[in-house]
Amino acid sequence: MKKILPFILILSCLSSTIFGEFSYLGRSLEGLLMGDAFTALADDSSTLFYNPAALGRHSGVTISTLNPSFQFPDVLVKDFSLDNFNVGVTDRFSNFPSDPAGIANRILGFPLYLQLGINPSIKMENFGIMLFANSKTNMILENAIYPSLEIDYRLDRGFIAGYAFNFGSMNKKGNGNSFTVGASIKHINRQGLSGSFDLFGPELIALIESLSDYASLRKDLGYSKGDGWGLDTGIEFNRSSGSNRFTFGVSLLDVGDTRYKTEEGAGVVKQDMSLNYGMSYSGGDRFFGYSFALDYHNAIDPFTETMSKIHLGTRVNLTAMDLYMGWNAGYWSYGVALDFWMLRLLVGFYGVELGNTFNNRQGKRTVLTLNLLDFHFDI
Amino acid sequence: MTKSFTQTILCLILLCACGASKEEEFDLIMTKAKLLLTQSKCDEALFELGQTGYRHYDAKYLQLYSSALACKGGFSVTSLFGELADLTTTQAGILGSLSGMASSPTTSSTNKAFINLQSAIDTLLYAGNISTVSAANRAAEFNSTDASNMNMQALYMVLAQLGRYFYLHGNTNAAGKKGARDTPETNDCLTDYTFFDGGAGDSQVLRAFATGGGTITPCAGNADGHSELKDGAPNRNKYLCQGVILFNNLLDLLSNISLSGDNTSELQDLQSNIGDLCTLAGLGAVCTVKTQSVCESMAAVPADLNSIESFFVVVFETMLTDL
Repeated sequence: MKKILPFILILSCLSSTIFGEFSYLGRSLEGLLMGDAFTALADDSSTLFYNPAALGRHSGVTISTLNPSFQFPDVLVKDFSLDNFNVGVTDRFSNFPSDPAGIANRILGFPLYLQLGINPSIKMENFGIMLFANSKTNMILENAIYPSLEIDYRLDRGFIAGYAFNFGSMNKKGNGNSFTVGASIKHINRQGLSGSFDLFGPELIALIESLSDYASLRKDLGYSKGDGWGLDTGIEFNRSSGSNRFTFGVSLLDVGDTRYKTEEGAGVVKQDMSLNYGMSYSGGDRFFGYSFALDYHNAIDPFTETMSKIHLGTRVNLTAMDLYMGWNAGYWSYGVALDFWMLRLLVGFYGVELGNTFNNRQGKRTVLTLNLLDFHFDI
Repeated sequence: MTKSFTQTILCLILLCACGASKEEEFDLIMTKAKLLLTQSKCDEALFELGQTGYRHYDAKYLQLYSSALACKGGFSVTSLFGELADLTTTQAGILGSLSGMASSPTTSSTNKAFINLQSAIDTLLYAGNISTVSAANRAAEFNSTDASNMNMQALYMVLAQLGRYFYLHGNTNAAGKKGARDTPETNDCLTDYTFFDGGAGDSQVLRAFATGGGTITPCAGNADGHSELKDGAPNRNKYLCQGVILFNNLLDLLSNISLSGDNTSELQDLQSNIGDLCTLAGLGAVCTVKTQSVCESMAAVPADLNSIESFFVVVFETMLTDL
C-alpha cells in the first residue's frame, strides 16, 4: 500500500475535468439509485463502466441479454410525510403557455435530460465483455436576460472488454484477502453535437426557417462523429469472512483521456479521464443482504468541490425486492427493484449536481429499466 | 531514505503543479455567470465576469457582460418579445408604440435602470474596442456569426431604450401619444427649438418645417421641451445626442440584420425613408452619426446644434405626432 500511494498521487495530477456534471461513458441504474457509490461494488452488468478490477470478484457465467436503461427528468412533486403523502406533477408544466416568450420563461433553468441505452454483457469468471449503445441529451435554457439554449447530445456505441488478475490468499470458501488488478480496452464510436445558441438570435431563427432535412439541420448545429480507443484500469482489495466482505477499489477510467479520430464535423468531444475511489461493506444471506458504499469521484478534478465528489449508498436485498438509497454528492437518490422470475423492474429517482459548486443546481431524474432474460450459472 | 524523500518531493511538486489552464478558468467563470443570470442575480454575474478582465474581442463574453448590465437595467428579451408582437412598425407609429410598452416608463436619464441599459447597449456597440461605432466596424473585428449575434442582442435593447427615451422626453401616455401623460411634466415638444430668425419669435427650425407643410402636433411652440432637453439644461447636448445615437444605431442594426415575419418589411424600409427625409431637409452628418462623443462634439458647434434640433423636428417630432 505504501508503494501504491505515490503512484496514485501522481495519477491525481494527470488530468482534470472542468465544470457541471461529469459525463461518464455509462452508469449503472442501480448504482445511480445508491448515490452512484458503486466503484467498490459494481456487481451488476455495468461492472466495466466502473472498475475492471471488480471482475475479480465474479465467478461463473452471467449473461445480460439487453440491459436497457431509460432516464428522463423527474417532474413529480413528492411529499412523503406521514400526514400528507402526495405525489403530483410540478406546477412548472401545468397550464403550459404556447407563445415563445412564455415557453422560454417556463423552462428557463430547468435541465432537460433524456438517456436511452442498451448494454448487453457477458461475464465469464474474471473476464467480461459488454456492448453498449447509449444516447444522452442534455438541454438547458440559461440567462433570463437574453436566453441561450445549451445543447449536448451524444450517441456512444461500442464495446468494452476487460480482465482482472487476482492475487492473494483467499481460500475456496471465499475467506481471506485478495488483491486484484484489472484492465479493459474499449472502442467507442461517438456522434454528437454540443453548442450554445441564442434563443432569439439569428442563428436559430435561420435554422428553423431553412429547415429542410435532418442531416443539414444537425450539421448546422455542429454535429460531429468519430471513433476512438480507450483504456480503463483499476485495482481492488478485498477482505472476506463468510458472507461479509470489505472492498476498497480505485479505478482510472479513460487513461489519458479518450480522444476520437474525427470522421465528420469539426471535432468530437473527448471523454475525460476520471480517477475514482470506493469502499464497500456487504453482508447477509440469500434472504436478507445489505451493502454500504462510499465513493470519492473525480479525484483529479481541480474545480469540483470536495463535497461534490462524495457519494454514499446503501442497498438492501430481499427475496424478490431490492431497496436502494443514496446520497449523490449532495442530493438524495432512492429506488426499488422487483423481481418476477426472469423479469426485473427497477424504478427510482436521483438528484445530480449540474452547477459548479456544492449544492448549486440540482438536476432531478427518473430511472426506469425492465430487464428480461438475465442468466447466471456457476461453473 | 533518499529514495522515499525524493518520491515524496516529486509527489508534492506534481500535486502543487496541478491546475487548469487560463482558458479553462475562463470557461468556468462564463458558466458561473450564465447560471447567475438564469437566477437574475445581476451584481453577482457582473462580479464573476469582472474576475477575468474585460475581453474586448470575445463575442460570447461581451454578450454575457451586456446581459449582466441589462439585468441591472431591468431588461429581459422574453418580456420584450411579447410586446414586440403588438408593435406598430410603420414609420408614423413605431416611436409612439415603443414608448407605450410596459418596460418604457422611466423617471429620468439619471435613473439607474436607464443608465445600466445604456451601458449594456454600449458594450455591444463598441465591441472590438472600436472608437467609431458602426456595424461595419464591428464586422471587421468579429466573424459574421458573432457580429450578427451581437447585433441582434443590441437591437432588442436599443428598441427597449428608445421606448424609455421617448416615454420620458415625449411625455407619452400608455397609448404612446406625445404630450398626453402630463405627469410629472407637461411638455408637448421633445426639446426647446432655440434658433430664431431675427425678431419673428418663432424658432427658425419650426417655422421652416411648418412652411414645408410638416405636422408635429401637439408641439407648437419653441420653448415647450422636456426639462432635461430645455435650452440651458445641464447635460442637454448629452441627452439630445442619446436620442440621435440610439435612433441612428437602430437604423444601422436593422440594415445589417435579416428579419422575417409580418411587418418586418416596414422596419427594413425605415432606414431608406429616414435617409430621404434627411436628404430633403439637408441635415448632413447628424443623420449618420452613431458615436456619442462625436455627436456631443457636433452639438458644441452652433450650426451643428441647429442640425440636431432640425433632426428632432424632422424625424422625432413627426414620428411621435398624434397616432
